This record gives sequence, structure tokens and C-alpha cells, in this order.
Amino acid sequence: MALDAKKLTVAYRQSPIIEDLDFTLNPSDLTLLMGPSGSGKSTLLKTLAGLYPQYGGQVSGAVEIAGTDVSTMPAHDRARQIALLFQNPDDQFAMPTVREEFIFALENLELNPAEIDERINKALAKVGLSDFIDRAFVTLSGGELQKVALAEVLALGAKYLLLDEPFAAVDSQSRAELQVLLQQLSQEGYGILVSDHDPAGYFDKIKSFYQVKNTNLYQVNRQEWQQYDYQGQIKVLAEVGDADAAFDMNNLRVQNGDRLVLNQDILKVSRGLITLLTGPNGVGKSSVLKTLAKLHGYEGSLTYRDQEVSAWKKREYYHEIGLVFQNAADQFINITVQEELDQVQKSSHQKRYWSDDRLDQWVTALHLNGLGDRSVYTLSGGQQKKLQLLLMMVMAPTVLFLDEPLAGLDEQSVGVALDLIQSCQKALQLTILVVSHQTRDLVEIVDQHLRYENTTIANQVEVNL
Amino acid sequence: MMNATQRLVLAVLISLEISLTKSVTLNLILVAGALSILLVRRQSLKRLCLYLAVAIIPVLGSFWSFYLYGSGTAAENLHFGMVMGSRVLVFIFIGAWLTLGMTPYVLLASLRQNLKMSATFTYGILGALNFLPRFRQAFTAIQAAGMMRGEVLRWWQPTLYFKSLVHAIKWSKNLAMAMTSHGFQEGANRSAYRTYPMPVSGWVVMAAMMAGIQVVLFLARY
Repeated sequence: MALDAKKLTVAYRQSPIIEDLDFTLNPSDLTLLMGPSGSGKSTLLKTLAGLYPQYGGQVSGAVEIAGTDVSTMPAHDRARQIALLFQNPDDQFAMPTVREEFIFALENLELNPAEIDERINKALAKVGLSDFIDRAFVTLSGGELQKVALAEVLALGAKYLLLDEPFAAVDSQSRAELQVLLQQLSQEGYGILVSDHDPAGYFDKIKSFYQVKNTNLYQVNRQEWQQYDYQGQIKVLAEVGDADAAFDMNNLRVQNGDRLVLNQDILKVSRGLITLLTGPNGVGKSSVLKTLAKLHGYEGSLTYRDQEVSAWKKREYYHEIGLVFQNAADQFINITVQEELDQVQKSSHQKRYWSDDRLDQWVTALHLNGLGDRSVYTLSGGQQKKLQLLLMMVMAPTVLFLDEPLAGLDEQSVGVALDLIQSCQKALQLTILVVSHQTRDLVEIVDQHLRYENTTIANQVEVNL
Repeated sequence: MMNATQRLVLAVLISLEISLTKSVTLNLILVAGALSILLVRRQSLKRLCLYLAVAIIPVLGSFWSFYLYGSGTAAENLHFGMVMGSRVLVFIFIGAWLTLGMTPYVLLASLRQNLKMSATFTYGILGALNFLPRFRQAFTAIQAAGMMRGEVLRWWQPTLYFKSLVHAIKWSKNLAMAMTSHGFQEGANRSAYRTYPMPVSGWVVMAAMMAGIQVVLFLARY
């Protein structure tokens, strides 16, 4: 018995995300799936879990367990076989507390109260969270949420566990604990497929390793795994002279829920440069970016142009700084592509630079031409990311924060996007701070690198690729 | 004595009764009754003050508008103003009694078991309640996104609601997927970990209450 994908094709609006895939997950497998954000990992996992086509996408071919198609199984039968852990831990619980959530799930299987209690206790003990039974989800950290999510699917009895970037909001210690737990589960006979864009900590535990590339999966031979272990590969940036500071941090503390994610002594973010901020998953990069963008509270001191960020009036602050959101759709305020382009051209801080010709040129270079009447919400993920970046580059505020600006872009688009960022920055002397996992691409254009580890950020000339 | 469903049924019956009758005496007795239950069950004083604060404007508003602008004699208008004012007070305190010591989860779960309300509806509402805190954050982010584009989005502008709707649709889809992934299927049989039986004593209390109300209505002159 195994989980089998046969000639599987998944498409959104006619454009294929996964094409003609044959893949098998056996019991006791621990398989890692790597690929950049937006390469189709989530789509594949949701299809394998039987959620697509019910919740989107056009699917052809089949996903089967012991010859039965998972997409046609009733949900309560499927849950006993296969489970999906979601990327965003907040999205996977319908109930407010751990106990209520487990009860909800186990009632779906028509279990009696005694058995429900027994399964809850066993599953929570397995992930080491027996004391958490009456905790409310809002009080749990990212790592704890994912452990509870794992316990929940174990309680349901699933034999195949699919995990979709489960560590995106998890600190490094919990990440390591969860990876050990996954290894133990696979040794007990669970078939586990985990997708991640960070290979750290996997290679001594997994049995096989696949790359998502060009709408298909490619198995990587064990001998070549080392190449993907980027830990060793680095690039050294040229030292930059003493630049003025755009932002000054002084004893800055940032919390994410109950967890202290940043405890920064003294640090400046240079003005007029492109700075790259890197760090392990879940370390708190997004929280820091949100703090800088005045969307997250802080203690201590964080100043922009010698004035405390919390003291800036929102309107004036956002006149100076802009954030390119991780989720592109958050950027849009109009409906069609043309309306969006017209709006930014009208409101741009650099109207002289952004002539009609220049705008047309970039629209074409980014392959966004001819989409003027399309609703921004029906564009593909990659088109949305490109449009979003262009809009904020046209706005051209003095400071721009970019949160994963290259996520989901194909190789050619990555090149154009980097050109766009670099040429605007040079011409308009913008201050840019980028958070991205795609360091190998970005390292070509950045001037400075900040490394963020264990609640502190430091200048570092070496960039891990 | 009464389970959550029975409490809701009684609250609805009382509300209907006072909407169709014009007895200040009955209304005041009901308010006094609800208030004494709240006090006996040790409802916090802060909460009680909050209820009164919420009540004060609609109570005075309904009273004054019927008293000053009613079409009857002065005495009739005074009576009707008092009826309307006290009616609002009854609604608020009956609501307070209904929610006393009851969570939305218990109320919805009882309604589902006792009145066969759909599980999809029940868990949909519960999911939506969990979204509320995230909604506030999303609202702030949308406004910031607007300002970064040189547009100040005010609360009366449709863009804000359109964007909120986009978020809500995304969350609800994610929630639906999570529920399906955890074995929830619309219309399928589910077991019940807890039961919410409707005790006979509850029906007796309800009948006694309704009978008592009829007696008060029969005797009361004002």
C-alpha cells in the first residue's frame, strides 16, 4: 500500500502548475521536497491530500491509496489515511482551544467519548504537549501550533503525512525538535512528505529528496545532496564605506505573541543602499520588517530620520516608506491592472523619472503588457508579484522594504525584477531593505548584508547562498 | 435547570410577548427578575454597568420620542413612552441573562443537537468568531497599503470593504480546507463528545414563566 500519483496534472486557469507527474510515497518514507516559493509545492501537496480539485485547480490523472482515488473518498475516510499540515499554523484550526479542536476532528470520525479522550491523550503525549490540552491557540507559539497540528492528524489516524512548509513560522529549536519527531514517525511506519525551501537539518534524516522544477519533480541522487546543503557556500560582499543611517535601532525589542524575536543592542540600516536581511525560518524577519513598516509594536528605540517610528504620524510615515508585501494581493487597491498603473503614475514621488515611455518599457519587460483590462485578482501568482513590485517602484518612496519580492518568479522574470530594483535604486537613490530566501539571485545587486540569528541582527559581509 | 437551547427559546418567547403587549409593570418585573438573577449569579459589576451604559441612550431615546411626539393624549403618550423605554431595557437584560455563563460554542452546539441545526453553519459561525482579532490587523494593513500608495482609505470607502472581503474569502477557504482535511464532511454523521439534553425541569420552568407573565398581564393596570 502506498500513496500514488499517476499522470497527475494540476492547472490554474489553464496554466499547468504540475504536469504529468508520477510519484509514490511509501510507508516509512521520509521525503523532502524542495523548490522556490511559488514553484507549485503547495498545489501539489493539496492535490495529494485530496483537497484539489474540491477547493480549486483543474486536476487530471489520479492520486490513489491502495487503488482508491483520494479525491472521491468521503472526507472522514480520507482523514484516516492522509493528512496535510498547512503552512500558516493559524489557518488550520476551526476551534479556539486544543481540546475543542481535537473533539471536533474526532467527532467527524464518529468516535465515542471514551475513545476520543484516549486518542487525544495519546497523540498529545507523542508530541510532548500533554499539558497543553486546555490551552487556547492564541497563546501558543508557531512551533507549538505545528506540534498540535501534527498531534491532531496523528489522532485522526492518518498514515501519510504531508507537510507544507511547516516551519515557516517556527523557531530553529522547535524546527529541530519537529524534524526529529518526523524521523521517529517515519521509522514507526508513517509515510511523510515535507516541503521546504530551506534544507537545513534534513539530510541526515530523509530517505529521498526531490526538486520541484518546470512543473515536475526531479529526484536528486544521494551523492548530490551536499550541493543543496548551502550551509557551506558563501559569497563575500565588498565592504561599503560608512554610509548615513536611515534607521537606528537602540535596545530594540520586538515580540511575536509571547516570544521575544528581536533583542537588538545598536544597529543602523544604511541610507541609499540595498541591504539584504537573511536568517533562518521563523527567526522573526517578517515581524522585524513589519516593525520597521510601523505595522507591529515594539519596545526600546527605533528611529527613522532621528524621530521615533512610533511617534511618526502614519500618513507622513507612509509618504516616506513603502512595503512590498509578501502576499502580493495585499498591495492592490484597485481592480484592473490599468487602474493600478494609472494610480501609481499619478501618485508617484518621482513623476519626472516615471515617464509614460519608461513605464511602458518595464510593463513590456515584465510581460505585463496586454493585461490592462484584467482584474489584478485573476493574474497568476508570478504576474501578481511582478505587478506589485512595479507598482511600488513607480511609487518610489524614499525607503522601500521588500518581503520576498522574487517568490514564485521564473528565472527570466527574476532577472528583470532584479534589473528593475537595481536601476530604480541607483537612479533615485532609494534605501532598500530586502528579506528573501533567494539569496543567490539577490546577492548580485545588494550592497550590504545583515544576518539575523537568535534575536540579534549583525552586519556580515559573507552571504550564505 | 434549563439548557442553552431552552434558555434561547424562553428568551425569544419573552421578547415576543413583550413586543405584543403594553404593560410597564410586566416589563419592570422582567427587568428586576433578570437583574436579580445576574446579581445572584455574581455577574461582575463592571459588566452590569456596561449593560446600563449600552441601555441608556436607546431607553431614553425611545421614551422621549414616544412621549414628546406620540399622537395620543399626554397620559397615553407617557404610558407608551414608558412601555417603549422599559421594553428596550427588557431586551438588553434578557440578552444579558441568556449569555450569562454561556459561550457561543455551547449555545451553537446545543442548537445543533437539540434543533438539528446544520453542522456546517455551526462550525462556520465558530470559525468566523475566531477570525475577529485577525480582522482588525488586516484592516490596519489595508489602510497602510493605501497610504503607501498615497491614498487615505477612510472607513466609509468601499475599497476598504472590498479588500476586507478578499481577506475573508481567503481565510474562509483556508478554514474550509482545514476542516475537510480533518475529516469534516457536509451532511455526514458525526458523533457527539458532549450531549446537551433538554431537561424536563427546563420546560416546567418555561411554562411557569409564561403562565406567570399571563397572570401579571391580567392583573396589571399599567
